[in-house]
Amino acid sequence: MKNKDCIVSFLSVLSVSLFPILFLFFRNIEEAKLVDIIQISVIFILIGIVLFLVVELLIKDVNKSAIITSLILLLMFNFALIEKVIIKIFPMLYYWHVLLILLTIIVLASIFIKNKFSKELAENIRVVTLIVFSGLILFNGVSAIPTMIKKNSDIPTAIQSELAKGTIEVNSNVYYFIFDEYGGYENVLRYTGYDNTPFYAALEDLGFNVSKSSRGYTIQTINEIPNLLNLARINDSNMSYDLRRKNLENPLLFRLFKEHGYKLNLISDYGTIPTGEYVDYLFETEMYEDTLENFLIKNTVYYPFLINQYRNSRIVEVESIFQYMIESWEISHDKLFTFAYVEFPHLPWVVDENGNDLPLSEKQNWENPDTYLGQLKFASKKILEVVEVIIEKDPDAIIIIQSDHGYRRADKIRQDYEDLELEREFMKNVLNAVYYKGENVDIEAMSGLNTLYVVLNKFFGMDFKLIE
Amino acid sequence: MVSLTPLVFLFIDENLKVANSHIILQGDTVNYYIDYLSYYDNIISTVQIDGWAFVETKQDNPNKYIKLFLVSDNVSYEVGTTLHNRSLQKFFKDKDVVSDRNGFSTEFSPLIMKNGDYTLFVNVFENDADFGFLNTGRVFRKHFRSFKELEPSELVNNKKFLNSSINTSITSRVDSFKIIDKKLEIWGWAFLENTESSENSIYLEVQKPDSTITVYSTKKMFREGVGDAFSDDRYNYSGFYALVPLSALGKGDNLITIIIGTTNRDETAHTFYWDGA
Repeated sequence: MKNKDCIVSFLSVLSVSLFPILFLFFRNIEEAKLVDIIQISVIFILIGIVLFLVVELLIKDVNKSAIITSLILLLMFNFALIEKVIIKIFPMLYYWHVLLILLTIIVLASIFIKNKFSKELAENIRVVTLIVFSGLILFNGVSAIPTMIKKNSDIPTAIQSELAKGTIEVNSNVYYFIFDEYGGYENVLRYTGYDNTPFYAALEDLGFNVSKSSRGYTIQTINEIPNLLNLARINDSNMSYDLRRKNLENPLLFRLFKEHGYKLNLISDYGTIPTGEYVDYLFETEMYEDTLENFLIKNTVYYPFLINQYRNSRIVEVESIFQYMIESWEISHDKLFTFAYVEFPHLPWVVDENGNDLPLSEKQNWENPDTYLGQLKFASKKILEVVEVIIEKDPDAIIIIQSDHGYRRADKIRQDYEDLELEREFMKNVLNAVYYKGENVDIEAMSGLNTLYVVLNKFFGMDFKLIE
Repeated sequence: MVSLTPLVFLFIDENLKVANSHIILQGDTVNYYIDYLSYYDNIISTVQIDGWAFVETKQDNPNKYIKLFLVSDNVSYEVGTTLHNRSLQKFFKDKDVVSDRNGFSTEFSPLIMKNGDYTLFVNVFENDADFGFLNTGRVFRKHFRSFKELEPSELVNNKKFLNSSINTSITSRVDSFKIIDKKLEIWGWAFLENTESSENSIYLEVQKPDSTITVYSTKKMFREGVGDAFSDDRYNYSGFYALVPLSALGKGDNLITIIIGTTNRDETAHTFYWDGA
């Protein structure tokens, strides 16, 4: 009986410890890997076990200890959420006040449980806890099975689009920059009320051809980027994430330039674009915070210490990317293809238009479009800085600036919008501008893909047909 | 619960302490700039400030210090800084600026501060002969966990100016009116004769054609040219900048009157015609 009590109590604590991790894991099963949660699972389990042992030493009743430990774990793991609620009611309270309140609740609840709970009641609550949390884990696990099957059944083979060589021999450097979530003119105007004409005018002054009404085909990066890089619509939302991502490996556009004797200079923010032997020069940043581990920890009592760790780091990374872009012309005066994928002005929204840090509470604030707008304006300044230098130093260059989709506020805060189909069209409105040695190129209203066709047809003498 | 925050701060090496001495603007002209001002949502809501400051001096300054003061109506806080080398000589060739220790950095937690609006002052001590105190005109609002700089144009309660009257010793000029991002951007300068310009805030009273009145604060700007033009360094901080929301304007002639401090009104109002577009 004693052993059975111990096992059930232990399992009860274990289920509470693991629930937040497995919940998040199953909810993100398409992108998450088991290896991502092993370390954090071990930490959470150890915390659970240590707490359980400490409480058991004090209470000396395994069933009641399991209940109290579960309560402590729930409060610890959801501390940030609880704190948010308390602060909303009592804004004068700080972290330590909330900590003290919760500690008081734990102590009082422990005393109550120890003195008032009968053995039978404690046993029942402990069993109910085990059933509820195991059930929730099981339910989420079962719900994730179809996605897991789909994920594993897709044969992750990249679609190797047919490669044809152009008829013109060229040497000019080509720069192709994609800025994630940089809204097209109509997109920015609709969702932020901001008229981005000054940015477009500045680009035109530099000799760019611009299109304010260009649209992509979806609002998903994982569709749009591989399609652009493979010069065809090979990805769609019905495919698994892994397969769509696989199509980023050595895509057609890279091979096309290599075929023409170009060296590849890849700037891969967050490591989104896979690298390989085909990459001659590489600048890569790593995902620094949006891991499952950080999602979990930022809800716990440990969150202020976690935030302190990565303060400022994102904007430092972004600045370094722009700096590398500015200096790319120095790598080679000819036959260099520079491709940059920059997850900016995409969230996290970390700076205002002047590059000053925003509070970290703003970093995912979809409610306030000004948060996004500030970062977009800052991105505009940095983009202009980059292209001004390149045009000055490398005037014979081709520069293509695009985005994968616009600001997706309507997709994130759907209740604010009546006609989501209409909004989707606005969210597909992308940045699209081409500098072709200062020459005129008609890209008006063209998608990013068609714009690439026009540029490549002209540059390499190819014969890409425009698509719908 | 009430004393928990001071208790916690006993264990934190804090740069911030209540300023016991009265702020007296005196001494020489302080030249300063804040390069970097950040707020962090960490456990103590750290505020970080980096910049440079100096007072012209021809003497050694081994005991140089730079202090920041956050001053409200009820209480003032003194913030210590650490100095570091920051060569400014090539930017101020015409000034007597020492070669090093012009840069400053500081971090502090505003949690211990009382809620309120605080104006930032900079105190630079180079040596016994050269030192200065400066009102930067930058105002910060501390409200529980939040510490943010107020925008150039915060709506101000009209009642604050009930005792204002025309003061003919105001010299002013509005350099430009421009509508940007649904706001009226106003640049200009104004000072009270024989008064240190950094001491007083400048407000703009906006009167719509229908006579509705609103008052907005402005951001103080360094305008060395004004000081030069009037041969008086006391007017170096007479510049102002404001962003007035279009909701404060009406179609037609809007009258904009400069108020210095809360009592001194410019005798002439500036007219801005808005076509309502």
